[in-house]
Amino acid sequence: MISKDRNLRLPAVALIVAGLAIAFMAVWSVVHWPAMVPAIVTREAAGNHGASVVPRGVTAAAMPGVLLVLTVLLMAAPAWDRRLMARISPMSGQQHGRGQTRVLGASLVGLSIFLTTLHTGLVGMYTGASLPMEQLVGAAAGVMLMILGVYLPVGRPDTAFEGPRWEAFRAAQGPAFRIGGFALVVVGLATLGAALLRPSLAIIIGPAGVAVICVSILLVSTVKALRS
Amino acid sequence: MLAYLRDRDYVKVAEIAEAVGVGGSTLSGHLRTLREAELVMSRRRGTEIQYRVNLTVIDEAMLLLASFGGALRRSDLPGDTTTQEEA
Repeated sequence: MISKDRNLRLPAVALIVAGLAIAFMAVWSVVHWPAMVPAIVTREAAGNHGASVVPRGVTAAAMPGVLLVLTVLLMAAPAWDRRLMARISPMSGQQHGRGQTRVLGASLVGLSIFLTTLHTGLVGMYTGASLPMEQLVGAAAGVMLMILGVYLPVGRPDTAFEGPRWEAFRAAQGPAFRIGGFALVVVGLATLGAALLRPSLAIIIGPAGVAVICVSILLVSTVKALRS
Repeated sequence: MLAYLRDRDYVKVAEIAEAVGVGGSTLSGHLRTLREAELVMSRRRGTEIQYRVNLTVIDEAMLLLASFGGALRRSDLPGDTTTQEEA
């Protein structure tokens, strides 16, 4: 699981943050377990569906479990990606650099913050604590987007492709990822601000901003590569 | 050097040397330091090594601040010279 190649290993800081987040969530669940009601209804029965009931055990374990699974998947992703790319393009073996693992590490840190906040809020629903869930989750999502934005420019593809057109596409993604990174930081800030001032807007700004940035990076890179 | 590389893809060492006016072992030393700090990355194409920047948004912001600082210092220079001459 842990590669000897430094370029395929997630940054240690990201793994430490994820480990601390999982530990914190587990402790949070254990400490609040006695105060949690056995189950809560997340959706009342209506029409042709019954009520959705979630036992406290599911909620207590869900977010720590999700973060654990995501950590394992993100640790394995760079090696899987390299193997997959080697099949698609024999020249991809020439790629080097830690850009991809740094972005995955940043994603893991962002997810740790987001899922820990979500877990705290969900457990609070069972204990009767009236936490401002929309604000907290929106703010955590904003922070996660900012962290991702900071590292996005170093995550541009570095695979060596065959053919001038593909090489031009790879080269065009550098500036696109750079501007996309700045844009994602701005979207994250806007999401954070909206979460604190008007939470309903944060739900729109975050996902819409991410979608626009992803599509723009792809479009700009393609157009630039075709023009070159 | 980072400002030169920022807007370009992989650049040959000879081109960097020409652009920044530094060559030989000095340039190699600078590039090695930048590579160790993960601020640039390199690839080999045949016998030549090419470099490109590898900056996060925070690195770019610091580079921008540094360039502002450099510009401010440069704009201060004539005044300083005059003062020295007057003195």
